[in-house]
Amino acid sequence: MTTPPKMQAVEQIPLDLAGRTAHGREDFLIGPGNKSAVDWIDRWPDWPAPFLILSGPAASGKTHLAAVWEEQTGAMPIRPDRLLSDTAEHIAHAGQHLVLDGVDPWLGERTAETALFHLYNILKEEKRTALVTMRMNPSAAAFEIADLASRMRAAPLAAIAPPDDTLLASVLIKLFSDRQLAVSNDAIRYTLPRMERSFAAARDIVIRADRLALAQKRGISVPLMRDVLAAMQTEPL
Amino acid sequence: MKLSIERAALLRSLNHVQSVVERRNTIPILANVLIKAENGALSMATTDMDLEINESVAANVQEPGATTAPAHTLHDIVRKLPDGQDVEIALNPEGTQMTVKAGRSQFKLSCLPVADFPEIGAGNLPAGFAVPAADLRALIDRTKFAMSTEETRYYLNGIYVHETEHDGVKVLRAVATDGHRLARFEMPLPEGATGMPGVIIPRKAIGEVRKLIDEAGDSIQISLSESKIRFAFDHIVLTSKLIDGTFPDYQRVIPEGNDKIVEIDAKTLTSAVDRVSTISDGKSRAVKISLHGKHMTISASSAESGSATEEVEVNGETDIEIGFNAKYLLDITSQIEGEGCRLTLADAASPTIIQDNSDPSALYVLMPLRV
Repeated sequence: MTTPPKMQAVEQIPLDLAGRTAHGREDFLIGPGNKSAVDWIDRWPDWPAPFLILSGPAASGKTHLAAVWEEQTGAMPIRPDRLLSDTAEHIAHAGQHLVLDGVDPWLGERTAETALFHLYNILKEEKRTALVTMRMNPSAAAFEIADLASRMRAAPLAAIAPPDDTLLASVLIKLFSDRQLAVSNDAIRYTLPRMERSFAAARDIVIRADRLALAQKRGISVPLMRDVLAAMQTEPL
Repeated sequence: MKLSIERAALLRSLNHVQSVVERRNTIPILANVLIKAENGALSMATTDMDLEINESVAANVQEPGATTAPAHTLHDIVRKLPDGQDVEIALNPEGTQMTVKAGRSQFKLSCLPVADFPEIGAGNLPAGFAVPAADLRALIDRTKFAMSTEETRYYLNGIYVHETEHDGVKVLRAVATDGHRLARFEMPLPEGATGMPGVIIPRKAIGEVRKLIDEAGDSIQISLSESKIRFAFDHIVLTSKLIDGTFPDYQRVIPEGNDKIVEIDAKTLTSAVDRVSTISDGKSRAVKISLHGKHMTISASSAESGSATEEVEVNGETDIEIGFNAKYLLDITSQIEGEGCRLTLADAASPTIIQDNSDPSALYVLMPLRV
């Protein structure tokens, strides 16, 4: 016979019912920090090079903006790990225009860099384009192949800067709305000055708030956001 | 308007329609029942703007006409009248007062104009199919306990009903979840349901439909559009707005890789959990299930009350300890009518699947408590 359990701090684990991210053009929130990146997307096909590099911190909207461009141009999304496993020719002919979302892990990898370099040349020759997204600014990235480095650094750069307060508030509301959660202005006003000023922090806060509200059957309120921000200090996501 | 009707028949219909009327209404007309007398029938309708119920019953109509009168008051009056009497209902010529007479009792009720009564039941509902009453009853009973009541998650405050395929067979599937547990029920896709939109039927409509099913005939006609659903019983039509939201992708929370399987008599498990949980305290009503070999130990402890354990035998051997909210567990096991229920587990922090051994139409997912 087992000993009766001591049940303190009992906590209901919720089901992982994450919402769908809205990736429409009208869902993309524009602020001073990402305005120039949006302008570059809108300028297509008038790009001075076959690659447009879209660079910005985690959760800053690179994938969203890439999806907007994909929708606008019919471009084909290419998983960047194909740079390792496939030839540049194959990748180049997967679609008329291409999206490579998140190439950072493959930079510094000779095989992948070679494929990316060849891809650049093929697209240039055939007057086609690719949107390449990465967290790092190419000028700060460590490339293995100098020819690729020079092309990536010379390509037009659509950089997303950290958000200002207005954009951060809108991003919080958008992320809650993706999860079909109504959030009060008070809860947003409470959260903004107390959170890290980054897109990634906004994403983490919303994931945590959703999970805590679901576990405890509560609404997204000031007291809930207080608990979320306190938990962020102590518990990893 | 003037009519007479047997008290029992009037009461039965009023029982149905008054149930939709909220006890507190800021809009006076919503407290009223719309009464129409014509062609040998009395029809009564109520609404809360989201849900409308309309029922007709045979009556001796002397003068056709229509009015609206306070639903709960009229219901209370008829309820208190002696059984077996005829009730006479008449509207004054000004249309402002309705008289209700039975035996020596007489009541005068204030009326509101028929034109003020909002009708939400109208409109074309393109998809339509018939469902056997027993199937609709099972669909609701197997899932409704898992609906959320938390207003923030409005899209979980109902049952999601949609068309899908399971093992190559087209099915009508119902899913409800409050984020802690999930219930899924399916039945063969009724003829005519192909191409129907997936809809979330609100909690209140589910409750009202469920009450009506037991008195319904063999089959219930369902019609729907993207925004409304209508249930037509013999003399009753219930129309409800649907929840304007997206139901979450529930498939991703139904685990496929759980490998710890035990089978147990459902009634034995239900009564053991019920007994042990007497000791559990707080909202979570935690019970711990420890499986060791062929033994299941259900236990609970509370700082105030003490502790409890009970051992039961299971088929299958596994080793795991997991905590559950006893109420959630009982909600599920009490739905299992067959003898055996199967628990498919992974670990103490992952969803457990519970199924009736003899009935593959229902599947339940229960999230554990971290204890």
